[in-house]
Amino acid sequence: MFKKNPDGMRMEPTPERVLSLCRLIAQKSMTREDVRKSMSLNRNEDTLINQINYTLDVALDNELSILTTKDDKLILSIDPNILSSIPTFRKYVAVKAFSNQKSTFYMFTKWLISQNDRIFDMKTWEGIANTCGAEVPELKKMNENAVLGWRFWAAFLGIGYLSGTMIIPNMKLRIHDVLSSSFAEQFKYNEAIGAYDFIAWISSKLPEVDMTDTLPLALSSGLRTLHELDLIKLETWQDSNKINLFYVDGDLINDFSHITVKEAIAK
Amino acid sequence: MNWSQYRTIMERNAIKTDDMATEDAYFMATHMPFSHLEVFQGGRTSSAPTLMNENEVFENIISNPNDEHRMVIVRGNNGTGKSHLIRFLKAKFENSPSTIYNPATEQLIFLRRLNNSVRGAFAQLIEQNVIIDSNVRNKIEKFVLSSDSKDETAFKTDILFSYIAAVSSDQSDNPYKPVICRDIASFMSDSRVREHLLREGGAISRCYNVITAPSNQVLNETTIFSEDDFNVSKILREVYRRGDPQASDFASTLKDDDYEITRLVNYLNRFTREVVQRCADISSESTKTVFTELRRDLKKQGKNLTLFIEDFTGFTGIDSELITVLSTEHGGNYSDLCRVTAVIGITNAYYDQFRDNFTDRVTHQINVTDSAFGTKEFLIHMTGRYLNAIYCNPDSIRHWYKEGADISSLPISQFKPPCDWETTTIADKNVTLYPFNSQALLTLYDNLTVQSPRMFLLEVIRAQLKEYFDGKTYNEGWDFPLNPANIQMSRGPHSSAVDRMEIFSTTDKSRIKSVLALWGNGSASAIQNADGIITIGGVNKVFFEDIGLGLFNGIGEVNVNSSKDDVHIQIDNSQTSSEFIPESIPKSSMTSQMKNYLRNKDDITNWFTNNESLLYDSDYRTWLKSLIKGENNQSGAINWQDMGIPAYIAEERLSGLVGYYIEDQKSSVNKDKIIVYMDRSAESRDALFALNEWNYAEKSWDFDGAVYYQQRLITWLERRKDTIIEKVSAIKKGDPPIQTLEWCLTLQYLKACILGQKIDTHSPLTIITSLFSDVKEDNSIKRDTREWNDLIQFIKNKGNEFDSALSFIRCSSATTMGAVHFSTDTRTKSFYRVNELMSAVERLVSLQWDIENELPNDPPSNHMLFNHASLLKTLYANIKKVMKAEVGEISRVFLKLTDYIGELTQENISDTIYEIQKLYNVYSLNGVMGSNELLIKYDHSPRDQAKEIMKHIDTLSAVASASPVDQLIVYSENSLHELEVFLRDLQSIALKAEQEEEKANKNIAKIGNIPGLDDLSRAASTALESLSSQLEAMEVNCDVIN
Repeated sequence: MFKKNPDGMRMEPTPERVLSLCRLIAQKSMTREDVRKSMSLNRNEDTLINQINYTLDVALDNELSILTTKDDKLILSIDPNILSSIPTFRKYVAVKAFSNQKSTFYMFTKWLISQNDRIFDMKTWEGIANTCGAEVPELKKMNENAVLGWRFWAAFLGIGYLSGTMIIPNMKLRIHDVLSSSFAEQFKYNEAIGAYDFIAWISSKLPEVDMTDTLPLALSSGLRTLHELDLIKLETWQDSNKINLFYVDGDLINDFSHITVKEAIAK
Repeated sequence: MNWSQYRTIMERNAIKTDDMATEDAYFMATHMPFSHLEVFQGGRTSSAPTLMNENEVFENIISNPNDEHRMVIVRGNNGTGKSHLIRFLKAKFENSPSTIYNPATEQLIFLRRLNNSVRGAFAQLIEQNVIIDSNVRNKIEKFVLSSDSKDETAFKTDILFSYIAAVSSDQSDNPYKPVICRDIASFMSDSRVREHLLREGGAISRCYNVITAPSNQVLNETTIFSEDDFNVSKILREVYRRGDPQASDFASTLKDDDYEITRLVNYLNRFTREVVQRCADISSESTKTVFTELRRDLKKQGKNLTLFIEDFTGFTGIDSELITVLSTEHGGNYSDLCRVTAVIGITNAYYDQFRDNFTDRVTHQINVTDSAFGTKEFLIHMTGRYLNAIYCNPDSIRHWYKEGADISSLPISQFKPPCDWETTTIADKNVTLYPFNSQALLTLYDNLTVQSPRMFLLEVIRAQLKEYFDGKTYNEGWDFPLNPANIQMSRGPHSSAVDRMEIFSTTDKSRIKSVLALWGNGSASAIQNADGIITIGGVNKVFFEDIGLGLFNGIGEVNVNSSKDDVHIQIDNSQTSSEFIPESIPKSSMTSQMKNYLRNKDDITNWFTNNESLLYDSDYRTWLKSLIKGENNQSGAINWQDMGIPAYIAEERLSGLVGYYIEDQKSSVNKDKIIVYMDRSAESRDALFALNEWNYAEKSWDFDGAVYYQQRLITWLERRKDTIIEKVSAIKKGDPPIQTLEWCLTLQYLKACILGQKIDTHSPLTIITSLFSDVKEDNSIKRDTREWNDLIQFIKNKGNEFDSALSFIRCSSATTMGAVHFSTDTRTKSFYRVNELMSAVERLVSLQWDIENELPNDPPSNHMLFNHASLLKTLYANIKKVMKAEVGEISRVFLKLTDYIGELTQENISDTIYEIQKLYNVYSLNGVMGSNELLIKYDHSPRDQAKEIMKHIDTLSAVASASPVDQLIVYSENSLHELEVFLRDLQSIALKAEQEEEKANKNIAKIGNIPGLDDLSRAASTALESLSSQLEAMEVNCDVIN
């Protein structure tokens, strides 16, 4: 899933499975065979073995580096607290997933976010895969199955909301995770900061988003949703430099010069 | 400007509620010329009509220089302008040169529609000296006066008794025989029936209104009495029981017989005309005489008669007589009568009802159809005329009228709109349409319930202007513009955005949307042209300022347009939704999807703006389900698995539509089942719109405005997500999780214990694997207490619930890839969240499967997450009872064993078995037939056997004071049964020994003194006695043995 491009991004290793498997190892180190026996309750079917192996691969060193192998045994290689809750696990995965900019997952995510509302014309996962494959030389092997696998992690990490054969781009959760975990390292909650300062900071936290011009739909929608939920406040002050959000006809906020991140977001 | 004065002029002069009461100057200043009038010769309509304008009608029909007999009917639906046309024709006739109208030779009578009542019509006959006969005149004067002044109750009673009298004297034999008619009269006279007929809204009340009160209703024979007047079983029953015999007889025929009631209703309605005459105390004959006398009198004076009747409906009671007299052509046998030109306005409904009266008598028909007034030009021109009349000085209007009312010299008001505005023309002069524009006028007209000039005048122009003038007068409390048909902006996102503008009150938001929907292009985009003029949604921004909405600047930034386009109406089609279905598409050509889409939009709008119930909620709730749970093979917008909620729980909790509730939905609801609640709010309205658009776009987001709607939908979802998750998982944020999985594992474990099935407790994983299998009853295992067997039966009886617990374990602990629906597909379950199962099992083992104290005290009933807790609670209670019984049984068995063995030690047991072996040896030596089964059973090392039995005794003794669950786990091994069997063996052996002893003693006595026999006998006796001494306390009890 997070391997260097080209990667088939298989469907089987879903976030739920990866987390469950890692938590099992966190409880007790065991061999691959023990893991297989445990997760399958001693069933011995090829499909099942593959599912478990694919899931293990995502958790191991080459991808998320949550597990490693020592003396034939799988052991946890991260702070077990990371697995204690879904948000901590998600935040960990996000950092790993988007730090490897050579991965198919990263490249495809970046491409998809940059497409804004154009993806809706593509109608289906297959349509998205075909368009991407045709337009991005590095991702020419992209196929429907890869996108089907990608969608589970994209939704999990907060890139958007699944809706039938489409994703609604809206990074509310992804931004929320970033703001709740590291905003206070740089800024203060409940204080308005300039939009440009904010974008300069958050662009390093969300490398998958190109913020050099008008913000893309997914990021804009996420900011709008957080604003609606009163977790951040987007304002346009007179005579201040504005950042343009993706224009949405009818929306009351299409740009902002300042943003206030409420402390409530960290709770 | 004096806004209140404009309002006064409008209400008192230009647009009166009864528009026919308008003074002549304003009538002419606002008169709209009729065109496309359909003219028929005679009373039939089979031939094609000739189309004429109002002047052609006047010249060809009203002007009657050759004194031809004319009876002209002006027909049309209510409010189409019949009266207006008649009034115009009358005015034109009156102002005609003497060659057409010479008062010396022509009597002009104009009977207006005053209150549309019989009384009003009769009053005008008096006022206009139509009635010459003093006797008749007196009676009608008395009637008019009495209906005016008489106490309402007394007048109604008169009406009722007039009906009763009419029925009582009916000899027509149709449909009732006279004797029955008298029964009916008696029935109607019964106080209970009378009271019901006289009630407010009842038959007599309706008749009273027709005679005296203003109304636009057409009196026809079916409108007075209705089935409701008699179909009251309580009254019929009372009259039947307690009424006088005649009334009672008739009541019995009506009871439970709808046909008879309808028959009576139809019969009584026949008498309305007669009743009116009775009330006026005039006979049909005398009515005819009135008009005949008038014609004779005019003839004598050398005059002819031109009669204009605005509305014939008011002549109920004397209408047919009037028609008869007016239709009689002068000359011949009727040379004593003057010529008549009668122009009579009647509605189509009235004409259709009395077609037979008219067909052969009418000389011309003029049909006023909507083609005469329904055009865009007509409506705009009409509005311009009325607005001009309202904005003009009344004196100038009156002066103009006095000067001949030449349209080319009509005064034009000096009213200046606050900005450049749309105009129309009157005689080539511009008049403003302010505050209307043509789009608003046409849209408002199109949405009138009854489309007629009168309704347009009253419901649109007058109603809107009143609010506009009031707003301008008080500059607060604005209600303008009205939007009675709730027309919505075509640009849904902009409409929604207006609702989200916090600086405006709810009323002002509604006003803004109405302006944009009715006056504008349906959007709220602001455009500035090269002259700096800003329009919002195609409407000049100054207009918004003028009506107190100056703070509204549109939605989004102002787009600068370099052209100098007309700023009144700039329909920006590029900004209307591609999915928007223009009104121009006739409904008949719409697909069912289009119709449903529009229907849903209206439904949702009415729900939100008018607080009406949501009619098509099951569709919307299905969409909500798709959003929240996903579809069968597609994920929804909440990643349940990623929230830590097993897909199976989400699927089970969210599959039924009953879990989704929208406030004020039409479908009934079980509030206990609600999981997803949609309140009535702007956000919910937008979410529903979003889903409607998505559904119409074949469940895709490829439609214009999709991004806006997605934003609204996700915001709606996120604001409620925590609540939905709490409802689905039944856990409030911060609360510990519900241990349904542990409850189910425990149920499965206890079930296995009760049924005596082995659980592999080698490791947590082996326990889990054991519990995942379906535990069945093993019939070979026997339980020795009734209570334990009852418990087995309990499990059998609750089989479905135990199966559900097993399903929960299997399904909820499985990972699910994609749609939560897959969690119920057994083929896909393979990859389990074993870490959770392990944790649960380890904890349960540490608690020795006794979690009774952790169970919720009062778990909700019929809740998939709590049902198992209830079952487990019951099971624990049952286990306690069973264990109590088991402990009692164990004590009893121990006691009995002690009787045979002494203290229950391995040594004593071993000795006993040894003695048994010895006994069987004696049997063998003496040819006594003992039980081979027991012989074999106890033919092993007494020590080993005693060890095995002692193990059971120790096992049972060890948990004698343990918890019931611990006892269950131990007793499940069935040690008690082993001891029961051992006890039964001992009892059986002892009984056999006793029997053999008795038998031996008898044989000894029988054979006596045989050499050597005594020795043998003594040896046997000694052995038996030895055994007997061990069993001496034994009480042989066949019941126990059995």
